[in-house]
Amino acid sequence: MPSEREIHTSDRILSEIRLLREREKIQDVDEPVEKFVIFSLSGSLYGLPGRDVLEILPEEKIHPIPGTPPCIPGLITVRGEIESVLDLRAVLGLPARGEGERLILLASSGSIRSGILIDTVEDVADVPRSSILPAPSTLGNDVRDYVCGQLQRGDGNVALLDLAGIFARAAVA
Amino acid sequence: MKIRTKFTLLNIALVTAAIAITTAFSLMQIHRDAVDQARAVQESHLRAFWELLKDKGTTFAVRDGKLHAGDYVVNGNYELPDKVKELFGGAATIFMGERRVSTNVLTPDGARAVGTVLDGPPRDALFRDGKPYRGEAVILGVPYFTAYDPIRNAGGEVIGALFVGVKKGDFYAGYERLKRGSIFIALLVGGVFGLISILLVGRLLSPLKAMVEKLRRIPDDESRVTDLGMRLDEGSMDEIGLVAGEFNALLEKMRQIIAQVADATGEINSFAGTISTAVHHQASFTSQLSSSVSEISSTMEEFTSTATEIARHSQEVVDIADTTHHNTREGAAQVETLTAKMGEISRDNQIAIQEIVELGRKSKEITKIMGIINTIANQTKLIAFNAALEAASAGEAGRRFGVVAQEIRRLADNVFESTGEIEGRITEILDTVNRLVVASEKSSGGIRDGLDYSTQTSGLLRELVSGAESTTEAARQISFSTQQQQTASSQVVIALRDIEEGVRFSSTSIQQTSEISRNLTVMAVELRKLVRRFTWGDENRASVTDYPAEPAAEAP
Amino acid sequence: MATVAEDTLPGVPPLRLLIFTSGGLRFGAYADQVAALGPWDPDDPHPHAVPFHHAVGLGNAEAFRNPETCIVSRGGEVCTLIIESPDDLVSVETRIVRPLPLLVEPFALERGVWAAIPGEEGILLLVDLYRLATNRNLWHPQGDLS
Repeated sequence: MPSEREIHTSDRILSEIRLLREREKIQDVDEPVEKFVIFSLSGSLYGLPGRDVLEILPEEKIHPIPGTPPCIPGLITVRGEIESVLDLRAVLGLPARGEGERLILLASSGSIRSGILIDTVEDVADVPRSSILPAPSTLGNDVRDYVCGQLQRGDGNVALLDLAGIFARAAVA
Repeated sequence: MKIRTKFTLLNIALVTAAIAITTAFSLMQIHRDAVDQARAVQESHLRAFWELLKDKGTTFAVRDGKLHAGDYVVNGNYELPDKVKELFGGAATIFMGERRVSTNVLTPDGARAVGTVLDGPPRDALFRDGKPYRGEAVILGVPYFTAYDPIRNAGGEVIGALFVGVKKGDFYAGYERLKRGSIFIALLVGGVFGLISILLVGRLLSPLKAMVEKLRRIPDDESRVTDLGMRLDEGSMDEIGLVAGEFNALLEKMRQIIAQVADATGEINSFAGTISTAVHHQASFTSQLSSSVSEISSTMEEFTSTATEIARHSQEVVDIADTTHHNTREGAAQVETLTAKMGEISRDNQIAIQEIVELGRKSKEITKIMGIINTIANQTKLIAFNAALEAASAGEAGRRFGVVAQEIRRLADNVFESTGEIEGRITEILDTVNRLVVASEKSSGGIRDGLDYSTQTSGLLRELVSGAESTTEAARQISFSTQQQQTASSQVVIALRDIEEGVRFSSTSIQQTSEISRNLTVMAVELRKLVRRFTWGDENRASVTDYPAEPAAEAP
Repeated sequence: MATVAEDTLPGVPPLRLLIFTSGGLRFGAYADQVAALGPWDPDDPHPHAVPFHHAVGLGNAEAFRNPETCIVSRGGEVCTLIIESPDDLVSVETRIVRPLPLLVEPFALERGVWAAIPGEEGILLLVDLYRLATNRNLWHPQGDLS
């Protein structure tokens, strides 16, 4: 039977934990966060704002359409609606991916809505604004045009992409 | 004896015989007449005797041991016989019984021949048969005709005999004289005729003489040559001429024959020469053959010894092959045992591998299921993501929804983790399995290699076995062939001996032939010589002049 | 593909479409724009005839199985296209017609492809042949018809 005079280790730890949690909550409440969709493409991590990403779709058959540039492979049908598909690798100048399941991010920027071919979605995370860092200077030329920031994650740096720029680029390709 | 002599003698003999026969006939007749006469005389004498006796007495009897004619005593009384003699001459005797009791026959010393007994046929006739007897006898060396009559007594018994005999000579005198005269005349006439015949015959036979003279010319010895061209004179038309003709024909035939003989002799000679040559060849051939046979014989001996060697070696080979066979069979058996064991191991291995592979397969199935789980988890995660996206725009409810989405996300992550772990494990298992499989396959491979190797070895051993069998078989074949060869070679040897025999025989026969040929030649020479003894004109002689060469003494 | 006419939008008549396949893609053209369909004789080609897939820019040199000439006429001008023998002639409600996504629309319109109808068998691309002929310079005077 513990004596009352002793300060128990467990109490001490408990109070610390409580404190930490308060701080986190405050942090959580005060800290403005933004949701980001973090995905991988050609082994690198990229991110898009969550508000731009409407849906994550499994890959499906892309229906070609005559006259479109190579970065736009064609159309897909999503629940009875026609959507275009953008090959982000082609836009970013990344090497073409081999086989494997791909995902399509249905993203919109402005009035343009399109599917974007990606490899995998790593996370849909709330990222505090403070974690958003400016774009690194070590990016390749092609990619740099479309990167507007970066995040640091445990598993690597995430290049945050500028969707509007990507769409603009695709529209004139 | 000459024919003339024969003829003459014959003539003489014939004449003499003719005369003799004629004379003999006459003489016989005379003789018979003489005998008849003698007999008649004798009968008359006898009758006279009877009369004289009967004058004395007509009844005859023996009394007192004396013969009585009536009362007259005959015995010792020579009156009657002397009377007879006086009248007629000749002998007269009176028998009492078989004894002479009265006779006029005198012994050489002048006594009366009385007391002797009668014997012989007269006796039989008189005293046995009771019949008179007429015959002949020699009394005291003088031939007589004899006549006996039985004296019977009153009872008819023969008590004595009366005998009268006349000298044959008395009657034969004329006969004898005639005989002598005839003989003399016969001889005389015969001689005369003989002389005549000698002359005539001589003349008749003169051609024959000439023939004989000519024939004399055929010589006996070798120095003279017989002229077969000679011909006899056939002039006389009688048998002598015929004989001459026949003889001439004979001579002609002889000439022909001799000529043929001469030709034949020539042929024989050339024959003999050919035979000689042939024999010579044959001899040399035979000697060649002989030497060849010797060579072959020696070769055959070598052959036989070689064959024996081969047989011996091949037997060794057979032995070795048998041993090899045995050993390799054992080896093969062992290898097969080993192979079987390895097969077992392999099978066990295979089973193990199969089980391992099964394990791997099951692991892969699990992986597949993991995959499915992962896919579901992926989809779940996707939903969670989408939910999170939605949540961002739905306010507080969205926040809680976001939390739920988060949880779902976490669940999905957990699932991923788990499946990842499982996959990791499975990967480990698969790796292990692979390693095991690899190892097993390695060992299996090793075993397979081992099996292959042992199969190879087995195969090699089997080849070896079959090779050994082939070798054995071959060796046996060699042995067999060698035996056959030996048999064949011994047969060859036998055949060679036969050949040798034949060669020797041939040699002998060659010798014989040589000898025969020599004999032939000799005979030919003899024949020539013989032929040379004849001639028939000069043109024929030429064919006989090519004398054959004396046969050289052939060495056998 | 026979599409059943659904509820019609007021004022917009159903579209009559000639359905054909070209370059592996299914197209639907205004039937009214098609003046005539005729046989295509490879030995006696029309001088101005253009294979549709070339005109529309699909690129691959596909061999026609059953080529037919598709005469598009507007006024005195004619565009002669070679198409694969049409699959169907349908009437579709505009309701099911979807405009093309903005990202691709300019490109497509250049080729006369102005809308799409999603379906089970894939997306049917609606093509305005006049637009295609004009944009791609395929009009030729009618007198050249042989």
